[in-house]
Amino acid sequence: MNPEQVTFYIMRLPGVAGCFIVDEEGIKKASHLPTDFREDVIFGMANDGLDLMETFRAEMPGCQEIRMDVEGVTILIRALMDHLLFVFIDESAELPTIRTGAKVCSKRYDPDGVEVAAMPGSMSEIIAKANYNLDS
Amino acid sequence: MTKPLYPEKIDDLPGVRDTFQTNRELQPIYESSVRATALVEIAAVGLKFAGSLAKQSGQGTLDRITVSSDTERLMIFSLNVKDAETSAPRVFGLLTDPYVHLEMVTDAIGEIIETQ
Repeated sequence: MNPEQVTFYIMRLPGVAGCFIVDEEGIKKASHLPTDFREDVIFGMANDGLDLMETFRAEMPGCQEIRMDVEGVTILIRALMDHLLFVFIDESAELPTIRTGAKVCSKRYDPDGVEVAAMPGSMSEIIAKANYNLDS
Repeated sequence: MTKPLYPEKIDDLPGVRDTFQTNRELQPIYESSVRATALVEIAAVGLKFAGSLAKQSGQGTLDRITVSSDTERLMIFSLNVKDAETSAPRVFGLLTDPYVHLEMVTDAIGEIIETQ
């Protein structure tokens, strides 16, 4: 199955908002993109996706799939022979075969220990705090 | 100083092989094994790329990452805990058997928190 066929079938799954495929050089091979995705954004994502996959392969040699849960969307990055497949899945989609549960048990509390909202701790917030350490 | 959250109980969850916890600066506060120590470093670099990727996608803020192979699964997520002294979020990393899903783990940790 070639990249065009893969994206054709994936785009027809319920809850899939977009997908694209890149090769090992980060070059776009085929695409059905979420709206307003520019070429430079795709190239940036492709390169970061390749770096992300390689990073985890350093300790998980068999790493085939990375799921990133962001607000309302899951970004699925899957190794596909010598390609990487990016799929954007809507949070509300019932896709047990290609999506892990997103049920949230983490909670936030005010300084007095009173629960203020049931929501996930934001990794982005932590990453922003940690960027200095990561860059140094 | 942020303290690890019930590390022994989390280590004992079914299917869990190695675990780590870090503070919000991604500095380790608990590592269950040598493998976990290596995963902390991998997770920190991975989170940086993932944060960049999420930002570029314009989809929102990154909540968690799951990395899968045929033989194991790595989950990285943060939790805020009802503890006035250590209310800052912690980052959790769990290397598990492949059948373990993120929802199973977060539900189990939620139960541990509720019962303490």
